[in-house]
Amino acid sequence: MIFKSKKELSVIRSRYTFFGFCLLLTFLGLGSRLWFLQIYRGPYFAQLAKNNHIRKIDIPAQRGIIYDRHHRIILTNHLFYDLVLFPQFVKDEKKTLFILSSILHDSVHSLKRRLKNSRGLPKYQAVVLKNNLTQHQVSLIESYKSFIPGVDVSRVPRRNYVSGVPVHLLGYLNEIDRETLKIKNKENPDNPYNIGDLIGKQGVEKKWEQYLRGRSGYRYIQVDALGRKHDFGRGGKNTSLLEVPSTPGSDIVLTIDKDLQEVTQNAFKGKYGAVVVMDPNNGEILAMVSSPTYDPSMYQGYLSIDRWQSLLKDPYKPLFDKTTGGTFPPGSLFKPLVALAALEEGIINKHSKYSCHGSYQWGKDKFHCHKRSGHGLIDLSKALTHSCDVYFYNLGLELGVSKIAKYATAFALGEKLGLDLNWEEDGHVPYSNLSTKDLVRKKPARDILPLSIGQGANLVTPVQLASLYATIANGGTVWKPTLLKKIISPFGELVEKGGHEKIKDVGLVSEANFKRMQKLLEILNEGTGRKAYIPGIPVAGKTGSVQVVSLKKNRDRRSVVSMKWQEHAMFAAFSPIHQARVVVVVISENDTVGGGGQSTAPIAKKILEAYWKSQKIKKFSRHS
Amino acid sequence: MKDSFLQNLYVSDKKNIFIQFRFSENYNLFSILFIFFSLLLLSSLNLYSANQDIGHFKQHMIHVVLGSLCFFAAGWFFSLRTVINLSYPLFFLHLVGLILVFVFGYQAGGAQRWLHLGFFRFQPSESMKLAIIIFVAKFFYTNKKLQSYVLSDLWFLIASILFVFTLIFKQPDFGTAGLCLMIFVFQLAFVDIVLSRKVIVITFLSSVAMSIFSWFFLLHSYQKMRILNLIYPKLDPSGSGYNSLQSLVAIGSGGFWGKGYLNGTQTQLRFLPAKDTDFIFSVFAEEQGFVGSMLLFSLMFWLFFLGLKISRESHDIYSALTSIGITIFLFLEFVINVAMVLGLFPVVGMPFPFFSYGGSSLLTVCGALGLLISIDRWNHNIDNSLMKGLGL
Repeated sequence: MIFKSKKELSVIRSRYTFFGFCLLLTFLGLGSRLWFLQIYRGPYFAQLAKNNHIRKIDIPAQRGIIYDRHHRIILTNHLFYDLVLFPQFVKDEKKTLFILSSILHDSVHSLKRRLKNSRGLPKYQAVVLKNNLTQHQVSLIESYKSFIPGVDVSRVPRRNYVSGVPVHLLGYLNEIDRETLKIKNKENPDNPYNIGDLIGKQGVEKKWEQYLRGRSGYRYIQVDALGRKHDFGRGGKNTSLLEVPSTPGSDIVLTIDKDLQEVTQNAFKGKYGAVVVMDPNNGEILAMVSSPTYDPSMYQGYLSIDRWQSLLKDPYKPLFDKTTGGTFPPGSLFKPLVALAALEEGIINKHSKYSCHGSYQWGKDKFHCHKRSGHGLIDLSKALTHSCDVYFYNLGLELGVSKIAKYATAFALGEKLGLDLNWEEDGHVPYSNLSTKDLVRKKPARDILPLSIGQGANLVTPVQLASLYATIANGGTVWKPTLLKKIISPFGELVEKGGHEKIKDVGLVSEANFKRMQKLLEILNEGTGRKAYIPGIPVAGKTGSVQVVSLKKNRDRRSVVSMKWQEHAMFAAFSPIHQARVVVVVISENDTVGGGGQSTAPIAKKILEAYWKSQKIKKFSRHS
Repeated sequence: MKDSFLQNLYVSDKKNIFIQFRFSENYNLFSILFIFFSLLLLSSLNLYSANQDIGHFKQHMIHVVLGSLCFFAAGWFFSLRTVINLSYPLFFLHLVGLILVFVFGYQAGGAQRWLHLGFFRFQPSESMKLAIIIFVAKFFYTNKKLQSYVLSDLWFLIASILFVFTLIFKQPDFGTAGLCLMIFVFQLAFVDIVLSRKVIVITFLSSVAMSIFSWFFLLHSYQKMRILNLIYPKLDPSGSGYNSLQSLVAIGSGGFWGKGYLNGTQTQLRFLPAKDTDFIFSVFAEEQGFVGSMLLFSLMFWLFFLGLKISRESHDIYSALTSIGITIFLFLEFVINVAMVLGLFPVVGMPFPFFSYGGSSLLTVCGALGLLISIDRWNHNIDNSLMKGLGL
């Protein structure tokens, strides 16, 4: 019976124990694997899961506002409307693009191309289809919204460039390039830049970028595996996603006078070159113009390659700031310096006279005066008023190149003045210790003649010229030119205060000689500078015309002369004659109107008139 | 007093099914009922979380209702006697079904696995697992021997199973084919079969040769990548290793308590692939954490031990082999799926019993559990199925 039942069953009993043991082992094995993954490695996988679905979105900061010296806004931000498209919500791309193209008067093709550029970006990210919509377009899109899901109008604070902003002074913004991004983020890892952030590329925007930019905020969003934004888990875990608002940038108060800047820009309209208006008593720059200009807002929209190329290829270099970066031969504007040197060295006195016959024979070469008929026997006062070249050839020969260079460097020519704006140039003073560039042929004796009238290898920037005349006007102090009054944080605290810094005192020249020179430069209703004569307001100044190429036909101002061979017209002035309060330097490149007296003196006059009008001074008493 | 009352009832009317009611005798039955309904409930909730799609969920509920019907039919409606008698015809029916699939089956996802039965598609290879179990049991039930079996007694059995294996492997469905073979081998392990040393060595060597052969000639490149990914998880994290990695991230990020029902980020934000079928356990582990997963494991292993117990309590080889087969079937599906999801096994198409979405699979496991109940009742000498009561 037992035998039979055992045989009939034929199932091995011991295998049950074995299999049960296997079951137990499996349970323990799987359990410990679960423990390893969920408890031991839990935090690691939690981080991986978070990286999967949490995305950081930046909130751009508003850039600081730029004010003039009287706290009037020069440049601020404005809310612009951008057309954005969220690919994750678009139902029918073809239909959407068709409707948009008819609203925007833009081809479907170009919209498609912009959409194509965004391919590969996560789907939650909005694609900007068009920048800076008009109010009309915005209202049209709002009314069509129900037919075009996924399309939205986003409001973005941007620089509001009204017409007449000082372009080169303020500069422009552009997207940061990868190289700069790397360097900047290494310097300042605390407040890093992201790809696509705007950065100041010129002028004030570049110089005080770190104050203006502010600090962008961020928030976290949740995305799914397809990159679409997701709001699941409402109420519960989602609210813990952090949001940090952005901090606007600090505001900058400049020394610029907005009205004067506008007057200067209007007065200089149509000319190519630079104008600098400066306070000679502390180096504050009141107005600064470089011409031609460009449109700084073009970088905020879509800049076509053609337009960019045309800007780069323009012979008058519209992107280039000529006030600090442009170097010019000073021409006749150099003569007061030579005269001061000669007075100081005792070579001449107020009454010394030289005779001008229209040219000066030096060996085989003949050096002309700008007036071919000659000025006759003239003294220093006349020589300056009529800008006689022969008179200064004589002074130059007496002084020698090294003396001229010594005085020029004493006035801080040939060195950077420290304005540190837009690639400031240091200019060039030949034969000085400063000059390392071998621009001159080593023939001092022959070079002295053009050098003494500011031609030849002499190179100065408009800011240096302004500084030179400010030094003459203030009686021997070289102030560091400055633009900054103060920087104010968005919370109203003073971040930085602009100071006045003395570069040096010109010890070589006595105060009496400065006074004498100020008087000598006075503009009366005669001479080359007569067009800058303002009745009732004493103005001192000097005209200059720099030959670019010596051509006979140049002298007749014939229109056939190629523009780039025309002379540079220059004018430097300060007012009043003693204890001057304003210095104006006008440089017009390749001017077709005429020399300094013809072309630039009237511009300086307009600027000075506006300045004194703003100071509410109509007339100076005789003694002042 | 209550006990004696029950006992009296039991003694007085042994044949009345409504009165024989003693927990100690019905421990297996109630445990299986409890596990069955717990698993159905958990799986339905979990599947809703995985997809959050009402249409999908409704479909699943239809499967649940049909599965429950299968469960009760197998457990109470049909007597085990009927099942024994129907074992060969059922196996034959499935064989025909597989051949039909092979000839003109419905294709989806590069595989030809489904038969169109008018209102719904059926996957014969799923229920074939159960058919094999009863087929093997029936074979040993009819071919009783007084001595140990030798290999030559089993040629018909082995040939049939290999034929089934080939049919499923050709679909291609490597997972199911392999599972069928493994169930068969495990069932044989419980039968007294004498194997000569020569046969063991030949089997061992041929299996080694077969695996080398299949690596170079049979396995597709994606299958090889799955095996390589298991060994080197960082081989191709965004390509062939993506599923496995995201599954690990989901499970691991669940932590001790889990992220909460409907709050698994990996699941809800669609980072987890195949989250309603093969990787459904990741969903559960992410949202219910270590605690929930261990509870689920306990539930499953309780079921396996019950299966083992029922098999031990069996009086005849048919019920013993069937119940052990069902236990092994459920256990292998569970272990392979979980090991795959936990990154211990290459990615193969293997459903998690009860949890993975799929009608054929759910109906099969429900039927299997029902059969287990039927066997348990049979073991207690209760051959009073409703069918019999109805005079059938």
